[in-house]
Amino acid sequence: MSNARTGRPEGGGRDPNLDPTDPRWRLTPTKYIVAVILLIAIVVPLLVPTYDQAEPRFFGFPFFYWYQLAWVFIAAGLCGLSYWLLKRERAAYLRVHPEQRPRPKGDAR
Amino acid sequence: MTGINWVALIILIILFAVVTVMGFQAARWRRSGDLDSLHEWGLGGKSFGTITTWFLLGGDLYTAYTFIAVPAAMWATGAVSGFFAVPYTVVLYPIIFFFLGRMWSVAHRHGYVTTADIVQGRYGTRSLSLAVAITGILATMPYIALQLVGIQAVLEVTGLGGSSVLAADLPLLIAFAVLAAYTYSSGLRAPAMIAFVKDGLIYLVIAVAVVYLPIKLGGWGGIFDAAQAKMATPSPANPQMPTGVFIPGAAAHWAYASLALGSALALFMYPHCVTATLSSKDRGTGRRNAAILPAYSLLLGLLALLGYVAIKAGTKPIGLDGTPNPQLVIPQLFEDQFPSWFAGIAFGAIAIGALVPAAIMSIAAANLFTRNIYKAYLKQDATDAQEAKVSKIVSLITKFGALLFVLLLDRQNALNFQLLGGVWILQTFPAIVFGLFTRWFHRWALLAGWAAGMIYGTVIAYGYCTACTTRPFGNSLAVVPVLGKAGYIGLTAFVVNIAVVILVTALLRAARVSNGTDLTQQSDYFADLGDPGVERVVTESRPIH
Repeated sequence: MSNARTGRPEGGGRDPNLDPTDPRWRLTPTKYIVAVILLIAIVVPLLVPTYDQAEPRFFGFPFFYWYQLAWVFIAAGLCGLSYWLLKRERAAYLRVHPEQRPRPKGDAR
Repeated sequence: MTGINWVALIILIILFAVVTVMGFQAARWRRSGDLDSLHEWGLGGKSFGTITTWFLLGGDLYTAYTFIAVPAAMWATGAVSGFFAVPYTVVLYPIIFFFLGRMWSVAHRHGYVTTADIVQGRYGTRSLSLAVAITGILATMPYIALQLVGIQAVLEVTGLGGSSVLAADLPLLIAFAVLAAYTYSSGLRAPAMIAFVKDGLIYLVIAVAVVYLPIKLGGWGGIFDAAQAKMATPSPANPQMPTGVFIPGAAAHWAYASLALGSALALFMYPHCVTATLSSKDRGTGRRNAAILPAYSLLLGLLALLGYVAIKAGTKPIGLDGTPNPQLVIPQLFEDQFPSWFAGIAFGAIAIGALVPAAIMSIAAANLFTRNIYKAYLKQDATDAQEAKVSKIVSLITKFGALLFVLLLDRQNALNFQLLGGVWILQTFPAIVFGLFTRWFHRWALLAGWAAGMIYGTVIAYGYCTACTTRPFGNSLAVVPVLGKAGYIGLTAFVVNIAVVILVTALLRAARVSNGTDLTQQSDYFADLGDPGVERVVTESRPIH
């Protein structure tokens, strides 16, 4: 089934002018790693049975409370790590393909 | 409570006045742009960098929900009804990290301003984008209602209002009038400007409160012990049951996790959060913010624990009508424990912290109406000035809708307003987010799933009222079919929604029914500032319908 108006295949076509090796539209190993990192940060804080206890206490905070507050920092760190990994991948690609570098604003068209 | 706390009230009024003047000045901030266009009034020119976006997002994520509703729920019934907000804001950022970049890119390639635009571009199906638009407007109303309750709580503790029927709602009406006047005048630039002031005030107040109060009251250990003791005593409403939950047992695990997960999935479907995201200047801004926004989550956790601090301090949140009202517990704590002038600053911070997000929310809901209902159905050749005018009027109507929610529903558990909005807005998630990744899902299946989730969620939420008064929509937890445990109604409805979407998609694809016209292409979901076709400022006049 193809798109009636543009003739592009259904599901959003690829632009033939774009470099197919650009990691932005490929599922790269980095992206799998990032997905796993982020899934850890989503699933682990929701596993209530792993932290529904009062001991050990920390500055008077029961475990249940300080453990979850600690996850605020862990999750932020994991998001930061993911951002850095994706940025590194993009930078590596642009070093090899400088012609793909986004042009400075003003002459975008 | 005896009479009006004049010092606190005067400081509160001064802070309000400063903020209002700044709101009017904000119209001139950065660019002498033409506020008569929707794009300027409603998106601030789409030019905000990481820091401004951080303040703006913080301004709409952390609201009266954080300062009033969560601590009130902690004070009243403990962890399951309140502290779930911490894991909620923890898992929120990894979740949005997945789709925020794609949303930004496609929006900037095609000039989309709302979630309904994005759905329209992906499926070319007006009924689906209309469903998304209507749900967005509906779900925003109870969220704004929560902000009004927050401002009202502060005004009530300062002693404004009275016990007669009319005077009892006076604080609420003042809150409403201030909000309406200042949003109408300067659009999104006002809240972005004020967000700086607001966060400065909030951090000051919180820093003092979470350091000073536990020391004064003998340390966190004693505070947690007092909370544990209160939660274990028999509930005044139902002596068979304990008052609340200190640490959720096995029976409450799913309730706790589902409230957190459901709230996190729902948040970035709200029109106001999308507005804040799309008004950032490049693709990475949202993701950079995912790593730095958790600073607010820590704040939220400590604020939640102020509910326990109030238990230890013996705060008695008695309203002007003489009955206890948990929503007053934080303002009352400040009034009891601090000198009047500092209480005034705290009240100002809380009130402004509710005002800013309420303004952003009503603007975003208005954008949604103007773009996806007014311009799509009512007047397709509307000029920029007409659009901006309609937006301003609709933002006012949205606030009236919020006022109705406050007046008709149970105000004692304001947190529930946010969860009710979540039940509805979560049902737009499959249409918006699944579409950013794949075109496999069928447009009619997404519409059917949305309808199934909306009907299931609304019916269940309307009927279950166990922990509240006799008003409808009193509780957001209900027994999950099959699982047999209590869970967040919104998340259960979301699962129903997805099941219907998958089933109907499989059927429609087998029957080879057309899946609409896709105006986007794959690279649109990865474009960044400087790429061809991505403009720093999106041209509002580019047609989408």
